[in-house]
Amino acid sequence: MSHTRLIIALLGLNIIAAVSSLFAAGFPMADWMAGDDAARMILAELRLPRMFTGLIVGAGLGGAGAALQGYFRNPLADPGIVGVTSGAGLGAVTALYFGFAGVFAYAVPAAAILGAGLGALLLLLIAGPRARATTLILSGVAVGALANAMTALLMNFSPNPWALSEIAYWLMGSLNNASWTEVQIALPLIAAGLALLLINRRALDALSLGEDTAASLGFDLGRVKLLIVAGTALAVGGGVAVAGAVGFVGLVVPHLLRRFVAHEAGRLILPSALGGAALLSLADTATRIMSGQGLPLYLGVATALLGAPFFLWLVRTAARRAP
Amino acid sequence: MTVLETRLLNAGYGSTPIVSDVSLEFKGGQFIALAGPNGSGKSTLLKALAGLLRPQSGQICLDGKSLRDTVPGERAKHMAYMPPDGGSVWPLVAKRIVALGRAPHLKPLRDLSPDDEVAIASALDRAGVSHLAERSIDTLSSGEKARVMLARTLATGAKILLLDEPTAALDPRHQLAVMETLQAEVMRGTLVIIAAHTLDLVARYCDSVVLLGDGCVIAQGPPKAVLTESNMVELFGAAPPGGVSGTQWKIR
Repeated sequence: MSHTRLIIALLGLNIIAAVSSLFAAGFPMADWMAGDDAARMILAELRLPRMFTGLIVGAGLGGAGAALQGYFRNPLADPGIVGVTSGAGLGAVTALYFGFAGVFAYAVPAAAILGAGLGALLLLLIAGPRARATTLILSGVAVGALANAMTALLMNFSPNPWALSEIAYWLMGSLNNASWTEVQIALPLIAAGLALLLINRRALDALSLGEDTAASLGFDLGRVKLLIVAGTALAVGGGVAVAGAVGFVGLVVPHLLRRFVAHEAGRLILPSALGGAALLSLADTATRIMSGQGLPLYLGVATALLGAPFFLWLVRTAARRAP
Repeated sequence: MTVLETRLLNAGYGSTPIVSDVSLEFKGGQFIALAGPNGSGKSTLLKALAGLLRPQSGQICLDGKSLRDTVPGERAKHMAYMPPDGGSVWPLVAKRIVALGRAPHLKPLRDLSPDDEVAIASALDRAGVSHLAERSIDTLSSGEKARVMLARTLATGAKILLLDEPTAALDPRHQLAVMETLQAEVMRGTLVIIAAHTLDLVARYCDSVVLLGDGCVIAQGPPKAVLTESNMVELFGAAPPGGVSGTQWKIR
């Protein structure tokens, strides 16, 4: 399949995802057709922002996953692995715990982005400016563990069951709270993050041949690393800020699409962003359809239930292929 | 003509030097081999020459200009480097791997130009792997893979080729093919420097050998004068009687 046809096919999938996100799962279609104001309100103020948030957050996760897999030269890499997701989660939970969320509207997103940025900075401090990819992976695992421990500590000390459940539900990840505010927050951050990642696509191609070869081809690997970390922090942090922790999209999507770009790391970023957008949006619609009255299924739980077995299968096949 | 020289070069990892006080001069049209036991500093010297390792002290000059003052993107047009047992992490198509050699010449946001396409086709041809262009790298034998990697190095169009053990792990026919491809490049005026253990190939193809022992230059000159029995015994603790002679193998 040519690159253009792949992009067109993915755009088509996004349109299907967008339409089903708008009109599936209990939308009062007949009322809307009859020109009912309430139905129009549901569409304009609930369905549309939810659709956009899903697409934007998914694009950030998919694109970041592809860039990280290219940078680490490892199909098991995922935004979660560099500790950025956990950092963003810790930031948001801190805001919830200390009640900043009630003080001003942007507290949780701002704290999530701050957490993602701090996680990325800590990662660079531990790994050092000239760290090899392996060191960076191990540092990412360490940063993630630290952030998760701090999050657990805050939950441990949470003053009342309501605060605890608020944190726990938030960590499960969902688009239930998506409004135009969430779109306004996520869109610029994730677009900027994806742009930073896309700048590096040639460097990622060259990295397929190893760090020495890439450096000999004139790529400044220190700069590449900074841009990849910053781009991931924005693309993932922006998503966690509005939707909580939604895992495995960044792992699954690049893996499914890699064969369509002849395994070229740089060319995988854009299709993965589009694929991530469609997948997250479709997954959100599916969880809404499956959720019963008063029994909401959380999006992050659904993607984890689907993603974890996929991850296991990937580890098995990777282990079998390795020498 | 291209001139690559080192002046009292010290290079290594951290603060301990692996090669010390190396002063050498190489010119375009020369086929140079760096020889010596494992750990004698061949790879380190090659990496320093390629600009991948910052000198601890001393200088490396390309056409009289210090390598330190040359930006990486510019350096990459003049020098191509091939790491030992290089490969690709992803199962890329051979032609796309060779195309990566054009990276230093690409303009931002532009795809391969007709000039690039010509350079890629020519590199595939010179390395003798045109027939493998559309194959995925993971379906090739190690010999074919090594020659695709060589084509990638040639596609850069650099006047200096630095190759770390380009014949390692290859069967005799692929070894000869690689050396002959490199010799043809030397004929075109390219400076080719290889780190090598295959001394019978070095004796046959190379103009000059730099013999390294413990990071210092022990001897330098034509293979016959350098790869002598006494030098070999001193460095390797093993030697062919009468010194290393060139391989008699021929491709048929």
